[in-house]
Amino acid sequence: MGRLVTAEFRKVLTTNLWWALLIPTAVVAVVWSWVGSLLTTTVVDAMSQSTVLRRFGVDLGEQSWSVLFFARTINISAIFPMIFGALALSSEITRRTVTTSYLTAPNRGSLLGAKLITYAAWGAAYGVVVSGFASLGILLGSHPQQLPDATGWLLMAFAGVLSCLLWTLLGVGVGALLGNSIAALLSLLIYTLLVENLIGLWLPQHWPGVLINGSADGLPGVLASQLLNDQLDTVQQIRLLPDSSRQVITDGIQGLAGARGAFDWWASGLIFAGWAAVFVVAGWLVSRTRDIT
Amino acid sequence: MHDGSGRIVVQGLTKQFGPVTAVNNLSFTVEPGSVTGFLGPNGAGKTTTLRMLLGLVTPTAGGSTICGLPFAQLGNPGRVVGAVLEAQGFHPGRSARNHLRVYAAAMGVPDQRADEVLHLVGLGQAANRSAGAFSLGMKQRLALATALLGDPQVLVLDEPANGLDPEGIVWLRAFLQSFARSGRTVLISSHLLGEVEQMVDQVVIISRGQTAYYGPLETLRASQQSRVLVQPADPQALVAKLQESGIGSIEWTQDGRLAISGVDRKEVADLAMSSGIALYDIQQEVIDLEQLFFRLTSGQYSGAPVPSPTGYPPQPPGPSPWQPGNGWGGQG
Ligand SMILES: Nc1ncnc2c1ncn2[C@@H]1O[C@H](COP(=O)(O)OP(=O)(O)O)[C@@H](O)[C@H]1O
Ligand SMILES: [Mg+2]
Repeated sequence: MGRLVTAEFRKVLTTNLWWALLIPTAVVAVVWSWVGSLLTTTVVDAMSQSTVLRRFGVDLGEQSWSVLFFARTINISAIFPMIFGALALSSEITRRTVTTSYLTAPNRGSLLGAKLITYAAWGAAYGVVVSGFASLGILLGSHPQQLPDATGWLLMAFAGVLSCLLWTLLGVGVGALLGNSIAALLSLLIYTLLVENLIGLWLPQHWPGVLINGSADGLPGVLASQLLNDQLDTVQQIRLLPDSSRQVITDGIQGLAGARGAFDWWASGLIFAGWAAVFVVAGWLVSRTRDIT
Repeated sequence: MHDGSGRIVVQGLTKQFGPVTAVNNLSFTVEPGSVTGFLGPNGAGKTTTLRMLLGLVTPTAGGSTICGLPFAQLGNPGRVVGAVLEAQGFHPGRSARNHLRVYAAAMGVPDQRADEVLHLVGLGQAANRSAGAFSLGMKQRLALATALLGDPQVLVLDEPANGLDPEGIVWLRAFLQSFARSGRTVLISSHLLGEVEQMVDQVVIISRGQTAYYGPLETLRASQQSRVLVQPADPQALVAKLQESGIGSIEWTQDGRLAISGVDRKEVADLAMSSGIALYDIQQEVIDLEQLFFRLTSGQYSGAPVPSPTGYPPQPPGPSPWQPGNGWGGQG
């Protein structure tokens, strides 16, 4: 297996795709989080100035609002590692290099296994870039007092790495399942950007959280909204609100973090990991007997 | 572990692509130390057979082994068998050397082996160029370099001469023969007998997915037949005389002459003379190997019934078109 992993790393490093996708990943991450946190800061500033809140003496300027767009940035930027993973096996089939790859591997399962190990590492590396550039973006766009503390930042960065890693593996699975680059890319992009958003609208509370995007978004999204809600709870006037009103605030913030209807962050992570596993296993089963003609 | 013999055994291999039977109950053995030609017209099922042998296509029935084991059980297959297949791909942006280093890593051979095989196939100068910019012939050489990377005991080549210049073909011939002479195994496919005639010892000829001939090329050569073409004054009388004397293979040619096989010119002339039949013209026609190959495989497009597989031991061509009935029916 070590031999095949070395070969997979060489395959990636001797072609341009990894950096051709890494550049837009970094750009999207920094722009999205910068613009997003600038927007959030502006809105929060405006709210803090509002007469209603001022009359009650509520101070909303000191919470780490920036994590909301940290989460949203992770969700949007993860498209690139997903594409990267989707091409792992499917582009080999489309380009017919898979013939040689299969001829030099003990069996097809071990080749897919080596790809999963390799692409998990690459997915994590994309995640590090996403979390890094998202941090830069919120640093540029937020007031310093609205940045997360060290623990909050570490948790968000971890969510970014994990999310990108899982998206990459899910992509590898879908690519292996469909066996065609174009088909894999189109179905993944259309589903994640369009289809699930449409069906998510019609589903009742919590249903979106079991879907692919819903659970994936829940990992950083719910984490961010929990960080923020914990801080809002320290605001006395909010703590004294009736439960139903507080629930409205909690749900609203989770929606702002892009994770409407998601379960707890760790549960979302597990559900999403389950989806990735389903596609990897399906891809393995289908690619085991696929005719390479 | 595999038995190290280098023997290839194909047994009852069958592949159905939907309604198309690409390969039908094919069996043959390739012995180490020899070059075996795998011949058949386009679409006969050569590529499909080789890909089944290499575990790339799942057979509908039957199986095959290399060194006593199915491909999937070879362990590190690149060290046992190397293959040059049709439409084998290269990443267009990856240099030849990097391409080889990828697969050197996969099969666990040292990186310097990449440069060795590049020089071996004459691509030393092009090592740093992208495979995407290679000509067809250069791609074939790179594919061969890849096949040789693991220093395998068995080489399987699917139409490797395609795209090679005449010089390259001569080189390939010499290379494969010396490869086989060192006790290793070569299985090479082609749709042209002439292309491999000079380098193969054994041939497997297939037509429409079935074996049409399997055995030494020498035996096939020996079975080359000649026929005598005559233009008698009274054809019916000559046919009667020929049949009387036990010469059975007679047919009419397109231009109205009689074609008699299995005899020489002198016999026919003597017989005609003794029966008092005048001959206006008589000539001997030798059928070369290429024509024989064409006859063996021509059932494919003519709509004629498929010759039944002859298998072992090798036999001369299947149902001969020179049987009396064949030519007589419409004309007599
Ligand atoms: N993937 C495929 N799907 C359907 N039919 C196929 C496929 N591959 C080959 N065939 C058919 O199988 C037959 C044998 O093809 P092939 O093995 O490529 O022959 P050869 O290599 O001798 O030219 C042909 O009729 C071809 O059309
Ligand atoms: Mg072919």
